[in-house]
Amino acid sequence: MGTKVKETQVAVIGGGIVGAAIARELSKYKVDACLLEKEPSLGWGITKGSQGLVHGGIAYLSSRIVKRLDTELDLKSFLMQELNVKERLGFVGREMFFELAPLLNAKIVQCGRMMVAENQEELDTLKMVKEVAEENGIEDIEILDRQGLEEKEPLINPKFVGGLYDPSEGTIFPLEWVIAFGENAKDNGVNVLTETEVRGIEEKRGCYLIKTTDGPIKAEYIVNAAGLFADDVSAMIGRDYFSIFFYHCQMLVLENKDYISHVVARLPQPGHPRMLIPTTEGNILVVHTMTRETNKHNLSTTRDGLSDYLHNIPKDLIPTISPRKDMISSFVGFLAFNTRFPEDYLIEFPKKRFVNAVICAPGLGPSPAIAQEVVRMLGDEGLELVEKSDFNPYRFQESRFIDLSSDEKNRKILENPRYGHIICRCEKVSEQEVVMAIRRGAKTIDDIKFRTRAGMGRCQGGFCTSRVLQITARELGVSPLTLRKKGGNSYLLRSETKTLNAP
Amino acid sequence: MKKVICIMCPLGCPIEIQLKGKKIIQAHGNKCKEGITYARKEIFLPGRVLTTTIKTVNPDLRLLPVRSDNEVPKERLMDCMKEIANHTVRGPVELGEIVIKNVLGIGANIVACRTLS
Amino acid sequence: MVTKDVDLAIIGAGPAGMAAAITATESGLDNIILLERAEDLGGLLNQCIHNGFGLHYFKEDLTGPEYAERFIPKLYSLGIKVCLNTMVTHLYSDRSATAINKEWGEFKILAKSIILAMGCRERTRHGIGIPGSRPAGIFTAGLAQRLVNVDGYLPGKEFVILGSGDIGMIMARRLQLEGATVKGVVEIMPYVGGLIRNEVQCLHDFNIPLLLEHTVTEIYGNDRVEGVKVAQVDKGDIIPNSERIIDCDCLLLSVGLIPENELSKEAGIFLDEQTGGPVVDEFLQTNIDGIFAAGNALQVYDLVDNVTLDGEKAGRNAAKYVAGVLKRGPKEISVVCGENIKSVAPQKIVGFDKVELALRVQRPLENVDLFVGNSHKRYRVISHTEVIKVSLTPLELKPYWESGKLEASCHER
Repeated sequence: MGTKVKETQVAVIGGGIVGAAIARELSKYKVDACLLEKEPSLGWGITKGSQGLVHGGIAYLSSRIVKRLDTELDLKSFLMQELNVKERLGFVGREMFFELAPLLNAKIVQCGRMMVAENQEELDTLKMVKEVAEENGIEDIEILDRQGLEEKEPLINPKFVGGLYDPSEGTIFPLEWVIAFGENAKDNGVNVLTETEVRGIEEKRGCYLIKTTDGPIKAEYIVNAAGLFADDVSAMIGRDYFSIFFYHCQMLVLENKDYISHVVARLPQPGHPRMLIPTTEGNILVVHTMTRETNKHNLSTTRDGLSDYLHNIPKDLIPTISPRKDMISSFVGFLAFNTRFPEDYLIEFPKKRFVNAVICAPGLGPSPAIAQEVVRMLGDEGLELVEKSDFNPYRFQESRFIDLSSDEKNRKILENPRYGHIICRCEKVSEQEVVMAIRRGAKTIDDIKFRTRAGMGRCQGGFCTSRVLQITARELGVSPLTLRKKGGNSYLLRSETKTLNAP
Repeated sequence: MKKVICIMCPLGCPIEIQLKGKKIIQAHGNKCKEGITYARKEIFLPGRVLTTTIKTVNPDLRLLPVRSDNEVPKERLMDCMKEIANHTVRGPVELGEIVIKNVLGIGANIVACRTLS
Repeated sequence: MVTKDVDLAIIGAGPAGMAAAITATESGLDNIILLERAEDLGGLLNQCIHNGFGLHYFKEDLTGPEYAERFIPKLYSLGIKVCLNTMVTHLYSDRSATAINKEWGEFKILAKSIILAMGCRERTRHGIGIPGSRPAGIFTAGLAQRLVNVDGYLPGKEFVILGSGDIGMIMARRLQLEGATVKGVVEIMPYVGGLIRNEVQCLHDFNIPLLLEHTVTEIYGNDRVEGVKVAQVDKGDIIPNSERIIDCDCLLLSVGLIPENELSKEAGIFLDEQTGGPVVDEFLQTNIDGIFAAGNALQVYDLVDNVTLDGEKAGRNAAKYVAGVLKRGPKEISVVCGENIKSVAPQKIVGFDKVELALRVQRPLENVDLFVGNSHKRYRVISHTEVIKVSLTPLELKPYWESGKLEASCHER
């Protein structure tokens, strides 16, 4: 849970990618800060269910095409409009991700994005996107003919006549980065408080008093990075001038049997994100359905959602994909927007020393830039920003054991034999990696899963769950009965056997 | 009239038995003689082999798989389970060794299904 | 890097692997390594504490652990090198492999022959696409069996079990015996998925409702399972307005086994879509010389007795292979699945001796005429869970060498 805090200078509410990035940014300065997150781990809100894309310029520009359908402007004029906050920060943020990757030891794969056209009209649209991109300083965009498509993606549906390629698109595993930002922030002095939900905020004598499920916290400044619940938090200070509206997206995770190596996308249509994303871990992510939703707690997939498009989107792009056979998993993600600026971010101070850092989709790529911007704005608002001389930008994180060379593996096993005990067959995770995750603060099975990948493979924990429970119980010195899958009451086990005679 | 599903072969014949006291006066539905034999036993003396686990003090094998060496009357299964839950076994125990003699006096022993060091 | 040069490497020390190791040794091989990822020998036998094992092989009614104990002491007494807690991570077409354990770290295996005995994994919730939330309390039946029988924990108090295969029914009984309540076993087919014996002794005995032609259409619960929605189906299609909710805190899935063949694929071994395992000849040899497959990694078996026989066959033949005496001809007969046949192994016949085929049918059949080529057998009943064995002599096989094709089919009279 973290040390009990009664007072702080800056309280960041919400431990998603934005909150965590802001926390890290704040930790560069001699500022007392805390990060408040209601789940047992960072990033389990919108971040967890996001697509993992760190967009290149083309993605932003081509997504404008969808919005254009509501306006009277011709395509070119529409595309030529000035970059909004989101887009501006997106361009900067992307660069920062690549700079941060070696510092935080977090992975970003520059897979590139290939957009495909089924006919001349679509191809012309893509050509125009390229022109606008170049006028905005985005280089290296290629227009591809049929052969060009096949060279990049040999299995692409024969019906596509050409396309466009943007090499700058990247993919990440979002939770890895939230954890990285959070750990580095903590190493540099930020108090990271998980399972701490904000219930109310009062103003008292030029300060904010935040009421949490773990006691009150007095803060001078508040950053509202509460994602899906940002409107609720803003309303707590009487500023309910916007609400969060969002889409419930059912995502499929398919095995990538050498199907794609780049993001493959068609021109976006309203409600039809027609895209296949190669994840950093060798799978394919598909956004299957996108429906307007009002229940923020609805994380359920639906029968229609899993079946309707099951054979459509993936097969439309890569006909050899067999969604039923190749499916590993499915989950729900949210694409959220704010009513104040439905296309853009809402980063402003509705009250003194309280900043709404409300973003919208896409939010991953821009996040480090958003963090910089918000902290700069806090400085303008009066927060004294004196750089720390001992700020440590490095976060140590071992590579996955299985990815090491033989010699490195054997060296590690000599140091610690637990590396030699592989407990997850599908993802080849060693016992010691599970132990390390627990030592870094993982207490739930899902947290261990996201950090180590144990349980994320084709058998979905069939072999390793028993072992992970044993190891976790041993390391934490608790009974396996106290271990949870995620937050709340998600206990995995109910009772011991041989308790028939218990009252 | 009693109904029984024979389990002697995959056919699984549903057999209807007419009883007069303890005598079978009519049987109907079986495709072979084994069915009657099975039905008679199942109606008058239904028994089941009980297989379960028993607690041990051995940290490497916290539960020892055990079985009844004879059939247990079907209606006493849960009583046996409760009795077994009261016991803890200390090794060494050999495969086949009795760990609870004549459990609840019903005529079956609980024996170990593997060795316990 | 440590390198192990062996005559035979066996991947998996469950019933197939153990039988293969013993038989290979008895057939004359002495440099054998048996690689097992778990903490002990026996594979899933250790957690299958119920009886019903060995009825054919030993003519006795044994529990899983007792069955395993018929092989384990012999293994050790024969001096076979056993590596526990050892995970094979790569397999290559040149019969080399990489494995990891504490003693040798990441080490290389160079084998003159290999037997694949990795068994199966269970189909998961996502594998069948059950919609709903992702709470704690959803387990495959095999994982639940391990938690209950080895670790000693009940993963829930009120269960719904999807799938009436033997493992589902066995677990239904096990849970009731340990004081939990099973509210229903849900089965999509109009017939039970396992043995009648289990239907009676696991479901009827405990008054557990069996819902045939039903399936689970949704899972509820935020942190923990709170209930499942169950609907009636007609030939696989959900009947509208037939849905109702069953409150429970745990859903067990017994929805199918998948032969575990990632290593096989990596080595370039051809797999059969019907069995899910490697394409093999009657020697259980795959398309790669010297690599054999046995047990559940080859196809989903009904009885462990058959798995043991497979292991023995593979062990014998691996020994012959290493000795250079595994005789096969230049021609080959492909065995194909005809009417009502779901799968058959071996899929190829290449040798000169008697051949034994193992078949599965697509659905339960009564008064069956089974044809394999011209050979004809009659059965009063064939269950879809059974593996039917049919033997063919060289004389019976003679006519098929020319066409190279032998069909197995069956129909109800």
